[in-house]
Amino acid sequence: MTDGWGYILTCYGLVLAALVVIVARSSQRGRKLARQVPEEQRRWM
Amino acid sequence: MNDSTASTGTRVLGSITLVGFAALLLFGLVLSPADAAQGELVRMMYVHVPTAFVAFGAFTVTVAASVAYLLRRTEWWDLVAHGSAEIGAVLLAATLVSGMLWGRPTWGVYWTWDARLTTTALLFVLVLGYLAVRRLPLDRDKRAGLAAVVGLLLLPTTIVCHYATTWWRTLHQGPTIARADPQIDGLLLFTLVLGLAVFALLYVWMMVHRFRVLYLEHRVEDLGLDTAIAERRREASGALATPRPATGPVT
Repeated sequence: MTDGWGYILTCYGLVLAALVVIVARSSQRGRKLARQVPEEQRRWM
Repeated sequence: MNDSTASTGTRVLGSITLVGFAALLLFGLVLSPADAAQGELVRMMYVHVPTAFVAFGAFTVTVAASVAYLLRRTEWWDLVAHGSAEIGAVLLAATLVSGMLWGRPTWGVYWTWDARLTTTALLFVLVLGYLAVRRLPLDRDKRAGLAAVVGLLLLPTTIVCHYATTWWRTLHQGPTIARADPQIDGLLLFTLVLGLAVFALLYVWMMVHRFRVLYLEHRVEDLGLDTAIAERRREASGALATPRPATGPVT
């Protein structure tokens, strides 16, 4: 069996990159929506 | 003013999750030793197994929230079910990708129609279907009710997927840690448990943010409706107030 570092780094890289993109997009969407809603309706603040 | 879905709690949780990921990378790629049977490829298990476990947990939350929605019909449960399914879908996609990357050097193929792999693929397709139902152009309550019913299907599929390696003879290995006598120990076990903890924290953190984003989407939708109704009322009252042009006999 080869040591497989190419597969290992691809695995970690793809999963982490996908998570970063999804979190960033969700955060961006949250900011955009939060600006459209009155502050009293954003109960977590 | 805070124009985001963040709060003090989510910032603290997010920071702990980030530190956890740094530790997972350190232990997963550097400190933990190679496995006697799998060699270095065991490092992919620290992503593959936790994402699968947490995805199964996320779908269980979706099922529980769907049942609660069908009983109570409240927006809170609907948003919990929706958010959890979204995160579960992302984590299950990570499970499939990491599994394929592990399968190629180990089995010689990226994919095989083994019972565990097939049921995982079915579960993924089902959750995509659930998320598609969430986008149907229906009345919000009707869409939530329909999604809750479809969401219930995640329970049997998740159970079959989880027990596939026990119920059938599969190429995929059987349980390693979800048993009375875990088949790994030392730093390998520690790193795997660390991975489970980190992805569980990530799930909770993302869940809070997704819940708030979905909640804001509903509020923006409501504001849009309120504005449209007010606009129509203004138009209607304006039309009533404006004297109609006199129409005399045509000479």
